[in-house]
Amino acid sequence: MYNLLSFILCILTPIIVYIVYTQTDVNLKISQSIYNEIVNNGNNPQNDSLSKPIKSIESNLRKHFESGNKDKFKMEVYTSYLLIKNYDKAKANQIIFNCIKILKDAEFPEMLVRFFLLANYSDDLALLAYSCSDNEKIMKYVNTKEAKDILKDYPKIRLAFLNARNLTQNKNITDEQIEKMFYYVGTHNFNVPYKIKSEHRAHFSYPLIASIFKINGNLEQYKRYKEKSLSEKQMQNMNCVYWEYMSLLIKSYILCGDYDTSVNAIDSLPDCTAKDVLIRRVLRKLIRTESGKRATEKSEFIKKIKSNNK
Amino acid sequence: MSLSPKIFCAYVARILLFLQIFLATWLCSGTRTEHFVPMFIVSVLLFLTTNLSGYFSDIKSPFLKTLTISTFAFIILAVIQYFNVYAEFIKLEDYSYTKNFDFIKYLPSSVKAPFDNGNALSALTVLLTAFLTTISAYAIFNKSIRFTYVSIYWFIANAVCMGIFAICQRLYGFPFMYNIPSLTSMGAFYGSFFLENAAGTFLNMAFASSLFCVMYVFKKSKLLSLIFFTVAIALSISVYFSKSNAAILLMIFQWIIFGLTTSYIITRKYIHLPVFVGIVTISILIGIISLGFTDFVLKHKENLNVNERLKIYEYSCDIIEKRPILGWGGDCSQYVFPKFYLTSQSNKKLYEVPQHSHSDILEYLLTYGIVGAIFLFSAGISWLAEIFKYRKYFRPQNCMLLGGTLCCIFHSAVDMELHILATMIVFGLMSVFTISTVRGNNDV
Repeated sequence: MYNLLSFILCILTPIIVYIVYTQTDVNLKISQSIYNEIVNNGNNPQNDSLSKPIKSIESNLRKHFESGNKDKFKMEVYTSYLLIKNYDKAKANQIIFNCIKILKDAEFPEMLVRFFLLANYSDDLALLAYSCSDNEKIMKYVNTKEAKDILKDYPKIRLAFLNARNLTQNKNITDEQIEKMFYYVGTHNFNVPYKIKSEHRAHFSYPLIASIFKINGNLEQYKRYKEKSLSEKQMQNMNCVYWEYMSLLIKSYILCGDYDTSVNAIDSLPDCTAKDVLIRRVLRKLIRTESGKRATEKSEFIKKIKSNNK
Repeated sequence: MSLSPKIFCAYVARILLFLQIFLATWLCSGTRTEHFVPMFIVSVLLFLTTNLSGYFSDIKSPFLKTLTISTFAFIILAVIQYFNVYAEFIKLEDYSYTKNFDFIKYLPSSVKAPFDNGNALSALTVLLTAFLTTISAYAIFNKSIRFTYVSIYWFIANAVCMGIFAICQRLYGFPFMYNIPSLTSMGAFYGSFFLENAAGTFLNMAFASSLFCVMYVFKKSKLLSLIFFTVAIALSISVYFSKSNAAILLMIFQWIIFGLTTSYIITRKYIHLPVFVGIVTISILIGIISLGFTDFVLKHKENLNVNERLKIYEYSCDIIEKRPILGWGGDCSQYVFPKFYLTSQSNKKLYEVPQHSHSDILEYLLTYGIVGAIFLFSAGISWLAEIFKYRKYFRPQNCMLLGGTLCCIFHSAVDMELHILATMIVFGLMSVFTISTVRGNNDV
């Protein structure tokens, strides 16, 4: 019995070692397919498994929004909402995100909030809520009793909306007030463990605060918080949640259109699987716009993706 | 002086076993491919040299046989899962899958994922490493009881160094070993382990071993016993700093076992064992009942994250129900779990999307089905049966090793300690230490 096992091991071990040292990085492969899909007009494999009515939701909504017929648009929103509600929500997650963006442009906060509840909670969803801060109608609505009732069981999204509102509506807000507001954002919105020292917990949100200020046109505050978020001291304080912090930093600066900062931040990361995972997750957001594409083309990581693409 | 090939192989096997203990302690808990592959190669070499040294020839142990048969079974199961033509290639981008799991319609099911991310073959590699090390260790310890004790000392020496390093890391903020960035967060590492829970379990087993040594060497050398006691204190402090609730509770539990065992040794001249056990049982019951009258449990319920875990267990049971016989495939729960959670109609929302069952029992059931679980369960039963076989040699100090091994099982029932290679190896060694030291009492 032991000799047979020895024999099997003598065959199995070289096979396993061969597989280990000849495998390709799957994260890099996915990044390549995303790059091909957007830059070289390839197919989006994610959409393959979606049903036709779900696939067409986004284009139908945009068409009706651009036509200017408010009643038809509202009808289309309600139909889309019911369609997604009865569909596989995890599969349609990206569609829900795109619908929220259209509803934001259309200033339809009543349904926007309801679409938020359809999506699977992630840090991207929280960032989407924070990105609504530049829309006064939405910000007013989230403070109403109706919105509070809808978001009653979704404290994470509610926190994001209220923080975004308080940060932008209060013109004379002090640094102390901001830190108090953002104390729990890391743990509640971005699933960061309670590892950061309590005095630095609010500092985790510096990139997000900078981003919100930029979205709202407060460039002075934006520069100040950006400097704070990238300082050496800040990096030392965030060392215990390094990857979560870098992930937030990169996504926040993409959100406000500061693509160069995001790309430089990605290039500064040490080469490892975590970096490839992060690239995989942010690449679609980065190269969606022309300025983002330009910034990405100059980066080091895109060279790696391109070289493996050949 | 010339060495015969058999003796040479025996020496090499012993060195490899020492090397394996060293790697299990210091090579980042064998969580990633680059860390567990060296351990796998060492375990294969260890097994081959042990076999060549002829150590297996005269062993008639049900535990060893069950382990070996289980190894064969898992090889067959994993190969079928890995080469399953109906397996699905999963490509994910922020939890959005390119294909539906409905594609998997045939048993045994698996997913086609790269080795690095985890698939049936990588899971087999991890299992084989632990199994081969345990089988080889059993055969080597069977030949020499002295080498068993030397191995225990070597394990404690490595673990206490890691424990002290981990304490300093917490106190002075050292970065993770070898400057490796963690996959999810730099916050969860402890010592040489990526996860503080696993580190807590590992240190707990070393702690149990050192308490065993305290009692074992007491008659021979009081000074040595004192040294081991100091080591035990250092290890229990390092368990405390791991911040793992279950590990801390089990560490306290082991101190209680130690206290009870020593008090039994002192009082055994005056009190019979059944009376002693009766007194202890009544004291424990009074303790538990009085705890129930305080708000201790309520206070700590939130910290222990009980509700969150229970919801995950419920989801796990739903997934297991779908493929109960041969499971979903080794290391595949990380792909299956988020999919089920996200598409589930249940309103039970969790703090974050789960990737694992957070219970080894459920995780093994999920990945290898009832067939795999039967083999693991039979290995456990044969281990207990073998200890029972040598019950007349059982001494009070053996309670510590037995307790340490059982504590690991308890911890793994509510977390995933026996999916981390370093803890798996040490758990296997602890089970062999227990048998060997009980049997060794006959020789001493």
